Amino acid sequence: MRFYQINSKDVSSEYFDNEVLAINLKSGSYYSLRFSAYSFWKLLNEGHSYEHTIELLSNHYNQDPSILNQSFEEFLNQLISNELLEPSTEQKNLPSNEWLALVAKEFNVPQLECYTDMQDLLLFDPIHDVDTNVGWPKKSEEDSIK
Amino acid sequence: MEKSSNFQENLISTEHFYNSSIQHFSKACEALNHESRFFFSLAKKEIVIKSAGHIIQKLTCQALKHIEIFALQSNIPSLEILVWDEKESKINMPTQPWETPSDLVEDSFVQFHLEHFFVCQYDNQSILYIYNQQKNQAICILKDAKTLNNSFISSPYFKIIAIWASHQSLNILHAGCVSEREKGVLIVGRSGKGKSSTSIQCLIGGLNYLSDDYILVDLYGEKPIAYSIFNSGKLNLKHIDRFNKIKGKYTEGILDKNNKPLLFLYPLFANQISKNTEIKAIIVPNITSEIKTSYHPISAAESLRSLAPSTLVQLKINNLNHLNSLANLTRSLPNFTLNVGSDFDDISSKVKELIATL
Repeated sequence: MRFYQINSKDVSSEYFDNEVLAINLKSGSYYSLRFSAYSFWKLLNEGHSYEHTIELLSNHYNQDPSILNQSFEEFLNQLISNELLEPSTEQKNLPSNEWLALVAKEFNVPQLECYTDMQDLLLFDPIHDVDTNVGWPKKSEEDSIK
Repeated sequence: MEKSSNFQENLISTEHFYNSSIQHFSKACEALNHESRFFFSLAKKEIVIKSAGHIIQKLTCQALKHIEIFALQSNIPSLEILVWDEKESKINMPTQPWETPSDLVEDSFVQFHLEHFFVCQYDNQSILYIYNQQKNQAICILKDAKTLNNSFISSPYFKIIAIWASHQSLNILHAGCVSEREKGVLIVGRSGKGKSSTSIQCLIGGLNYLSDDYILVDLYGEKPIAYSIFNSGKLNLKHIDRFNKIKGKYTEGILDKNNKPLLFLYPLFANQISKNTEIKAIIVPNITSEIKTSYHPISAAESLRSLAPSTLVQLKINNLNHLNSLANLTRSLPNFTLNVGSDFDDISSKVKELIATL
């Protein structure tokens, strides 16, 4: 069983009606997840395993699990490569999914709508934050790679 | 997690740098034979700026003039800022104990928190802030006040005010704000989307003005309240001549990186500069090729997409909880897009019309 959670170090997200807005403060990118992407994100972050999430979505959208798995595996990789989600070892108790019944049943391929128009601000006015264990604003190796 | 010995040593060095800087401030006052004091009231809290010499005070306090008070009501201000200019006073800052990254690009921010200290250096290291949360005191050291750019002069001590505000349960938003009859609207969106033009056109059209760029808000009271911080405004140089009342009133000097000259709207519009207002709605301007301006409701999510990235990224707020506060604000208020047309007079008319519906 695979579990995932939000990358809470750099990412904050908010739920609206059928939309998740997530912002990665490290990269300056922000994202909108709607329709099936919203449901997928919410189920994973509520503690359902990836496998159980596919099962729930397959029932909800009345779609073949193997077809859904293909779409969502690709989508999951996008979420991970954009550092929005990270693997988790914990399984939360009794994650809820009652809300799923209220979501529209028409299936759309999950999409990650990415907005990068704030990135230039970070590149133009980069911030060098200190590593609190070191204590000084040395440029991190990660920054040097960019 | 246990702090490393490196961390403890660095904390001691920062404390030492801070204490030495206070002594150097006194030396700068002695060298110039003058200490200026400027008091102002922001969000019902009193702040004092003490500066060595006259030049800095004159250069850096104009944007705060509308909230100036002539004496403190309380014995201890909520925030005290000490500022000196190395060039004018010939008193340099103490040797800084931290390293500066060697490959900084122009305009880089170097900032860090170390326990109760917040340190920020920027503009080619020509401005240094060190804020001590335990003492509600900050020090600002300028290499040469005469070379300060319009970004600093339009929003002086912004980083200090922002960090202080965060400890007072107040939030700074990247937003314009105008009001009429105590009903305020936030005007949100990233730079270049029409915040300043809309805010200043509303001022010229008779509405009250609180901000065109940064606004302080209290989101945790019974009602959301906006507090004006700076009376400055910035308009694109190619647009400024359209605004007859302010034509020729802007401050000559170095234009900011967006080619915008600086305007001080106080005392020019003293009767219309408002210090605070209740926030009743959020407006997202959208510049169109139409002649007339129009507005229509949008979702809270759409409004947050304009408000949050711009506020969190532009203001360099690395506080993930801030998104939740902003989301709650957009959920609690009506949200509109304002399709801004080329008939400038129509902009304020439509905003007035919209406010009347709230």
